[in-house]
Amino acid sequence: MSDKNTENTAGAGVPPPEKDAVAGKRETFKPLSRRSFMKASALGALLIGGTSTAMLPLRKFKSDTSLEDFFQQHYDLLTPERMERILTRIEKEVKERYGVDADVQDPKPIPDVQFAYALNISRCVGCRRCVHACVEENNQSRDPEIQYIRVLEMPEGTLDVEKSNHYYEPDKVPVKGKYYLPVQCQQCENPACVKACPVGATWKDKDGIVVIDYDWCIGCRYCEAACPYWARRFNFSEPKIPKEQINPEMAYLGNRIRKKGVMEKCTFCLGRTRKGLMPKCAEACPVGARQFGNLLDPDSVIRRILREKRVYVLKEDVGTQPKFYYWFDK
Amino acid sequence: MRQSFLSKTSTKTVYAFKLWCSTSCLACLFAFASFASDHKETTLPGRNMVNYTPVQGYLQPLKLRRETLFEYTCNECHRVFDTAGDKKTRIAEHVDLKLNHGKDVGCLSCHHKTNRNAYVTNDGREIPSNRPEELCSRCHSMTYRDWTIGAHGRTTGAWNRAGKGWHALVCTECHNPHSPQFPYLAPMSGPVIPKRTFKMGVH
Repeated sequence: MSDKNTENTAGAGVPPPEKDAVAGKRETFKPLSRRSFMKASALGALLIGGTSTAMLPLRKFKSDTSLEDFFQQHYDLLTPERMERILTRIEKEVKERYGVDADVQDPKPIPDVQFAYALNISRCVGCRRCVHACVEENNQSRDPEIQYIRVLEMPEGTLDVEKSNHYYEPDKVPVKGKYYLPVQCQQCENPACVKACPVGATWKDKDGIVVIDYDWCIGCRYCEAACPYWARRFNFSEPKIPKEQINPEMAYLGNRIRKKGVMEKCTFCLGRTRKGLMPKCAEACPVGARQFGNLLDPDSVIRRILREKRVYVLKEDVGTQPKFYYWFDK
Repeated sequence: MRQSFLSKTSTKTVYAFKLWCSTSCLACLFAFASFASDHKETTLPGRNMVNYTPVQGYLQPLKLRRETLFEYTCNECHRVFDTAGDKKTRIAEHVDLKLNHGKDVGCLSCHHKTNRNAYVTNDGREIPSNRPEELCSRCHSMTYRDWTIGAHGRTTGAWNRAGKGWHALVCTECHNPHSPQFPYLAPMSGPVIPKRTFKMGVH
């Protein structure tokens, strides 16, 4: 009977080996097992999760303005129209974050001007008013407080800055037997910090001011290490400034509010000086120890001091050629 | 000195002077009562932490001004009063005046003998009151020379002499002429040492 049956089926035209093959195929095409399902879904979840985590920074872009920030070009390549858009974007950001109506500008260097500073160390009393006028003007972070100017308290009879102390807190200054040496960015003619920058975020402008593009800075702090005067500061955290203490007149390369993870430093208050005003530290000095002017004008205060007084620069031997001159007359 | 001065003048002048004194006293009292509320110490709110005024502001040397808004120049009294010859006697406006300016310097070393609104040169000529630097240059010639080139003293406004708002403060805008040495100041706060950081030199 069984032979007959097979013969009958064979007679139907299906050969036995083919029948075996079909049966084998059915065996491999099993419904999805639990294990493989779990494997596949875990892999999928990992893929989706990983991708979304990698794309997480993109979520922070709330509007297209920040995307513009992301794709911003180097300062040298910016056209005036593009610069205008960037300035409005910064104003908008300041308004969003601090609620202040800022006026952000990008003042250009004045032709035929090289800024230089002269400081009379026989007049300076170390009262640190310049330090706080600077903090006030340049929108530095108040917590942690960033100060551009360091006033060194030096023992009389030496010019060695290694013997100085900048954490002095006496009741009254000047202390007998001490003199005071304020140090800030020396705006070198041959700046070591510019050479150290790997991305070209800092450069010497035409009026001699060494500036930083805070949007281009990557925060590697090489320049901080390169500076022989300890003039550069790093924003370790998001700057915290009380709303009422924000200076609304901002400059793109100067005192606009910085962000976390970028370098900053003294820029001779370029937002003021490029419009013809004195830097704020010079305005604030109660004893008139600070003079500021144009190095190329033969009748300027600076040139007269250089001509008639005993002037020296800090760390002349390192070859940075600072444009910050210390002098004394007693 | 004052007694001798009064005895010399006629009784009519004395009466006139007494009348003037009493009326001005009343006027002062009235003015003080009406303006006392306006004279509060004003502190600037907001972002002005640093005081930009000079250490010893002495901006208007001739505008004497008490609690009232009553202003008068030196000569308004001194056309009646003579100056005390000795340096120690001080009356009226000058009771709280402390002269600590060099050795052997008296009122008439700087102020003109007859025109009290002016200063005096070495040879007795008048220096207008709005040019105190010429008076100071009599003794402090080197400092005056530094001031003229811009090396001494404060400059405000523009960094360029030709710039808008450039102003070099004159001597009496910073120095009190009767006690020119600056007072000692309390320093503002220094660099903040962040937490979790070693203090320099201390381990």
